[in-house]
Amino acid sequence: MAIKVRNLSKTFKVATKEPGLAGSIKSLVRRKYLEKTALKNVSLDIQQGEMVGLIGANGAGKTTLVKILAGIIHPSQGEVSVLGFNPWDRSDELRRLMALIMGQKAQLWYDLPALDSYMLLKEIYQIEDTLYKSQIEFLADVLNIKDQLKVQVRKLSLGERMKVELMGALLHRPNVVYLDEPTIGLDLMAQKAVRGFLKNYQKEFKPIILLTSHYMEDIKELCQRVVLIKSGELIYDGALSTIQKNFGEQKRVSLSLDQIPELRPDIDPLLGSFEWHSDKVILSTTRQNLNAAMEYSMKLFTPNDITIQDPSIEEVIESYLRKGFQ
Amino acid sequence: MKPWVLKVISTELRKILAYRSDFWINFIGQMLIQLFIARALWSAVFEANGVTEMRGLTLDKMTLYYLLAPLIMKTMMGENIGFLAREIYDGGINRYLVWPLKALQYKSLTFMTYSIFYLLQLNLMYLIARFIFDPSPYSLADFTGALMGSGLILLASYTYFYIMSLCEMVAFWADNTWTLSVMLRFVASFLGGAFLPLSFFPDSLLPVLKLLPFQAMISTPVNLYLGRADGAQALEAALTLLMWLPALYFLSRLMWRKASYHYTGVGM
Repeated sequence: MAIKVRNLSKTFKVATKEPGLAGSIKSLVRRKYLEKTALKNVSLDIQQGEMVGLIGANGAGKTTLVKILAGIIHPSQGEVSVLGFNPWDRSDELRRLMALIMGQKAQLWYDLPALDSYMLLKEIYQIEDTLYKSQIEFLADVLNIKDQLKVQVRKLSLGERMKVELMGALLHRPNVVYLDEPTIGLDLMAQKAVRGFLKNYQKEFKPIILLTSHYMEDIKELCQRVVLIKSGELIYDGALSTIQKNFGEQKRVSLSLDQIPELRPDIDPLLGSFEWHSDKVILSTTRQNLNAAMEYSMKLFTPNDITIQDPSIEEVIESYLRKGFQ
Repeated sequence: MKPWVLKVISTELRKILAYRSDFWINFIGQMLIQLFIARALWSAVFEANGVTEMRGLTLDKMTLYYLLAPLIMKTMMGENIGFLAREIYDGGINRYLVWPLKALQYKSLTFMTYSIFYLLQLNLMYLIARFIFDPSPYSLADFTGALMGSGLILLASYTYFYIMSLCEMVAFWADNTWTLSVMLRFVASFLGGAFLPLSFFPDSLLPVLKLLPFQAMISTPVNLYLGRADGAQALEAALTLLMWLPALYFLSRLMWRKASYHYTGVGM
């Protein structure tokens, strides 16, 4: 197994302060600390060539897990093996085989063109001349960023910056790539370009890619396997399609109305629920109750259009994080 | 030597040279301001006391002293305050933890690159200022003094990097170490003779100052440039620094190892 995580836990001690000036003065003398559990007994395995999506709400522990796997922080408890190495031993051998891309933290030098930073990375990772040249050519070409490599990084757009960051992280052709929010803040076109690139890169070089993202589009398009983390605990590890299948029993019926009734009627909770919008009402129900719920709804409304849908993956994940499988 | 050492130095130099106007203001502006302040202040002091020499320094030599001392201090103190603490605070240090290299070694190189760059500026300014304030022709002693001074400054800078690192690494626990770093800078400058030549200090204090590394970092290099110190004094200063260096080096590494357990990688 390329990545093996066993019973991983991490707790942080965080200083707290009462609000206001009095709280600030009090904290100068006596500070209170809060013990925060970022990860609790997480275990998982990842095989070479897998692309895994790490999903969870803000503060769920996704980034903490990535930081531990990348060797940036030490866990409080548990074992981790990445390509046979303990990541927080920070051996040069392992670090030459991995890359970390943080959507919110630049690794290249802002004041220099990306090519200057790449020259330094070439020496740091001891990349051979031929590989370096071919990687620059290949990556610049597929990312369509050739003309921007000689421009100061700080003068690039957000999307271009992410592309040059991606290039820098992949120059040494790593076997393990940790991607933390690689499309954050990017416009739709740039998001699509980055996603397309990652998909092709993974297909061609087969690295492990562990992706955390708040954009479900990233996960949907790139990952067949997802790991869901809630309050530091791993609550689901498996195929994205399985979650969808579990929620496949759910149905959403959109009933377009000419006029929304002033007195909004309810439906028997055993049959489903209504969600009111300005021009429609959405009926959420199960496949089993669909006929009965529809029959009941048709008695209440005269819709001018009816659409029956499966819930979107965003809704499925959100619902799963909230309630788990039902 | 690691293959990336020269590339780190060259990358840092490119960063320093990235902004043209800042480069020239830093290079010329600072020298003119210091020159003007030192000349005006010490002219008044010499005039008020009705003397032509104070503690072995004429007005011209005193002006040169006050031009050289801050420049040497700046050179020795390499990269700015916060070079490590800022990156610990905002998570910028993550990149050195992920790259296959020793983070402290990398930071020492970037620190020293600034020193090397400022040293070149210092020597150029010295050549110009020496021509203005000392009418006697340049001699071999001038060049040997400058050469010994330059070597000592580089050794001082490397030693100061570890003193500063110890202070900046407190950020792993305390987050913000700005005041601590400023205090350290002030103490090093004061005890090194940057604010006032050490010949003005009480005699009883001088043996103690000799044991600390700061005299060897500022006062001795200035005096070597001014021709007021010889090779034996340069050697003595170098030995003092070499005595401190291993202890500071091991202490820094030990602190780094301890501190990295506390690191939470904030800002990611």
